[in-house]
Amino acid sequence: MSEQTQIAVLDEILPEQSAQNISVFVKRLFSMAENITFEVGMTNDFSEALERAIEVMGVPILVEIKGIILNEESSLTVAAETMRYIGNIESPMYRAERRELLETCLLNSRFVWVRDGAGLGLASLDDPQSISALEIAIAKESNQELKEDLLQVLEQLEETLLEL
Amino acid sequence: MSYIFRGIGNKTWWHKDRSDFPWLGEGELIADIFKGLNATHGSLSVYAVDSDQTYLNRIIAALACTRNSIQNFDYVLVPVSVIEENFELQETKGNTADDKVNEWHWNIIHLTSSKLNELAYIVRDHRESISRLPEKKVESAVRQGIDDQFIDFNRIQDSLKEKFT
Repeated sequence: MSEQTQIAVLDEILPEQSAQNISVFVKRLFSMAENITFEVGMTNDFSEALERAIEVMGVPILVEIKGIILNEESSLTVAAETMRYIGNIESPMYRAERRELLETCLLNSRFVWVRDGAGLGLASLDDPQSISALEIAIAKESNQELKEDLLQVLEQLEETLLEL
Repeated sequence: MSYIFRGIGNKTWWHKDRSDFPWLGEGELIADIFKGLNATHGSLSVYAVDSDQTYLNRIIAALACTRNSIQNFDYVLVPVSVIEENFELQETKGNTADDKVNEWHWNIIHLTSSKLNELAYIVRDHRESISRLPEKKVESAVRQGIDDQFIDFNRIQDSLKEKFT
């Protein structure tokens, strides 16, 4: 997906931000993301378009993304990478709403990859307000390897809390 | 015992639990793992790590600076004897912003698709040695490397320069 394509898609949607348009936009964005080769530690056209869309559209797009992920309307890879990128956005914009999205997906997705992505996103946000959600997620996590990774995130947030 | 270090992309690809992909047979690996074992010209870049893993975080910090965004770093450590027994190793200077780390760089060479598959199953058999350094610790290791001047700031990715200025 070239930068021009992202901008064209965004420009098409932005003049009228109805819920229907946001839904169409997110579905198109996620569909385009199927062609992206994701690499850890590398941003890409999808992550940049996602960040810009959140900046422009705000909370409604986060609600739409949550619906798509929990309704399992995207591939596991795109869903997991979306979780990671939503947490990794450096700007403080919609921080509480992004945290809420990640916590909800961590607690409710049936897929290990998505829960892992949500855990990584919460580690990026580094917000101690996620401690209780993480404790619940760890208590109910059936995948031992993921449980250990979530414990690592919990430990990090507890350290962050002590530093405040 | 010394180790061979290799970044593996995402450690969830290597999970024993196959519940996300019930079509995977017992002991099989999902093909996504090869995204983390991306060989070039039949060679795979690896690093030598001493037995007490003293410089592990330094290697990760150097590699993190070749990326354009700080995130967690998932990796595996396999005993060097296991790699030497099954593959050819060639010492080659690395290409990170830390010259000392570059001296610890090796390539696993003459890799065919079947040899790469063999390597994947060796990694699987060392699954307990797959670890994740969280993003916050990666960031801290990079900052330390820059402060200590192990990492040449001018050679890190431009997108990271603003973050670590």
